[in-house]
Amino acid sequence: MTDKRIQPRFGPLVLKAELKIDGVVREGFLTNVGSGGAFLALDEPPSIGMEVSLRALLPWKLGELRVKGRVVWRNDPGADDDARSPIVGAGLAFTELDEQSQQALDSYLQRFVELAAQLDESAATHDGH
Amino acid sequence: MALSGRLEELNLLEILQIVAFAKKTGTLRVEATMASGAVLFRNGFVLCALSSSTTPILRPMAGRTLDESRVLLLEDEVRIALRELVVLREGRFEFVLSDEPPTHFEGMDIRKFLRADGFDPQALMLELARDLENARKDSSSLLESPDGLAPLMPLEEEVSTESPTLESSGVTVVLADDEPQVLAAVRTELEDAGCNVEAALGTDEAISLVDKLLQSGTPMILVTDVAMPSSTSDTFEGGFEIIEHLNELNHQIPTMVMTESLSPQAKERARTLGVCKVAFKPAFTKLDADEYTTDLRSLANVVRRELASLTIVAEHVDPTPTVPELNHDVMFNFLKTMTEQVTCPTNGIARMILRVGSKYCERVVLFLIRGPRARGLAAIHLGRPTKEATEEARQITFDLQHVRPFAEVVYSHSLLAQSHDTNPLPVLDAGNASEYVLLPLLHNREVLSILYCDNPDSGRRLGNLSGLALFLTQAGMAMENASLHRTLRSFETQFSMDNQGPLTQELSPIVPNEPIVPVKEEA
Repeated sequence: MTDKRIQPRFGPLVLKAELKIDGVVREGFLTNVGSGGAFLALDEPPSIGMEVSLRALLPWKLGELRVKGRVVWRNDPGADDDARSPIVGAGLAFTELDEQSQQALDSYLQRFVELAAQLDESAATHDGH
Repeated sequence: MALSGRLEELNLLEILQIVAFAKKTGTLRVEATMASGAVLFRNGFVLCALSSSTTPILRPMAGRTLDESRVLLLEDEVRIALRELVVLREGRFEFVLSDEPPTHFEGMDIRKFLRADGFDPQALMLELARDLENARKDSSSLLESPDGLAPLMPLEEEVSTESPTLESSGVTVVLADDEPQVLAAVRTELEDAGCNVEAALGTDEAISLVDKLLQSGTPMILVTDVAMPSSTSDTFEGGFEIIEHLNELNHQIPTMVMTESLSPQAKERARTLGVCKVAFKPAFTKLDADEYTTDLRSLANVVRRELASLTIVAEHVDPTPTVPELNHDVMFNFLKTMTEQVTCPTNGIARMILRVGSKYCERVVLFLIRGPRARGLAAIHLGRPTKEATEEARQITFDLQHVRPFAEVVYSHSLLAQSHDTNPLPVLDAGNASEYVLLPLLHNREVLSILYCDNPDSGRRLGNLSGLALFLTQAGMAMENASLHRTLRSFETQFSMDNQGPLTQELSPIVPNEPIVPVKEEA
């Protein structure tokens, strides 16, 4: 399947989140986070089309992420090898992200990009020796 | 500039995510007091992880072809190493890029340890994050469980060892028994010895009497029979009811119980209630008047003798419920003992935290942090029944976003001292308190709990809370260790099931005909 996402995704990034699905509060983890969506790792993922409200505390004093998303695909337990992720859960497309959360999320992802860039700088240092 | 620094700034889970996201090849080294180790990457995939505790286990397998059982063992050891490294609170890290991962680590040939396809970073990070969350839940349960709030024995260190002088102590002995003859005999013995005695015939009378003495600020010692009808006549352990009443009011009055026998259950109850002494009654017989009198005298004598060691302690008990002024040595010994006790966190950890907190301030409230919310768990407010203060605390739940000082502590992981100009939680009446302090309890680098401290009655400024902060650090680490041990045990169990034998069993022989590659030191 071709990935039609435009924004980059941060595959191994993991964020603990509080979820509200159909009025029920649960806990799960977000991975593969991007500014437009994320993968929600959850043992019993919600159905495609369902709305999920998420809250997650971001590290480095970046504040709280509050976002709503819609399930656009899901990976059920025991899914075959063609599944998009080997992890049980659901793919979310963000539908509501207030400005404060958007800024917090952008800062968070930007921080990862900057830290990753430092690895390349370390390569220069390493090669130089 | 290399990606290096301190774990206090960037935790290992974040570093692993960064390397995996950047799809780099190289070695991440971690050096800390508690543990050290390395994680090896190729294109962002984790090939292997080693820690100071797993390296000795893996070293005998170095350079050798691994059979199926050893591959399973290796995978478990990788997970254990990651789990050990990811919870480190402080230490140094450095990621060094390379074209290929190294073949040796600390003189050990690790080529056979490198998983060819690597562990999927997304799944691995998720597994680690879930492990940490499960550990957090375990520790939250420890704090919340009834055991976590179990009362504690008084500590030896809180008790003076000065020689007692019963006659000159000025302490009132509250004597309670439902048998008038026993009451009279013991009273006479104690009064003859110079004691000031107030007698109560039964549980109800005793409770009224201690309440009256507390109100008048009279230092006292309680000597009570155990086997008396309770005030509600529900049980025949009225003596324990009197002690519970005192404990509920947070008055640590030295207590001696008189009993003919003590079942294991009663002994445990006496221990948890903080009973200091037990005087065993002889098996009274009223058939022989002389023998009966002798037995009564004998008991009275025992009580007088045993009481002597409690008298001086009672002099030091301030009957008005204020924070005790403990000298440096006493406080140090108290903290030392509590820190030793907290290494077994299943044993009343929430109560221990509150108890230590109550040595520093008049009111301590323990909050549990769960995601973006906080919830009151338990409280001690000197002069109020603990049950009442705890029930009040348990009514409190709030969103961290709406109570900024708490959110600040969750983000900063640091103590926060604030003036009470703006009460963070109006539901907790600030009273005369001019300030409050929030202390975090860290667990696997996250704030698991926050301890709220203030002096709402006296309005006194809060003193130096560094001892309390240190105790919270120890409590967090103890819970982390308990959780880590559970994880390691589950790995061991899983490995045993996979191999149908215990991990400690000798491994199957090395695959035959496989040349042993000599260990070569890395240049």
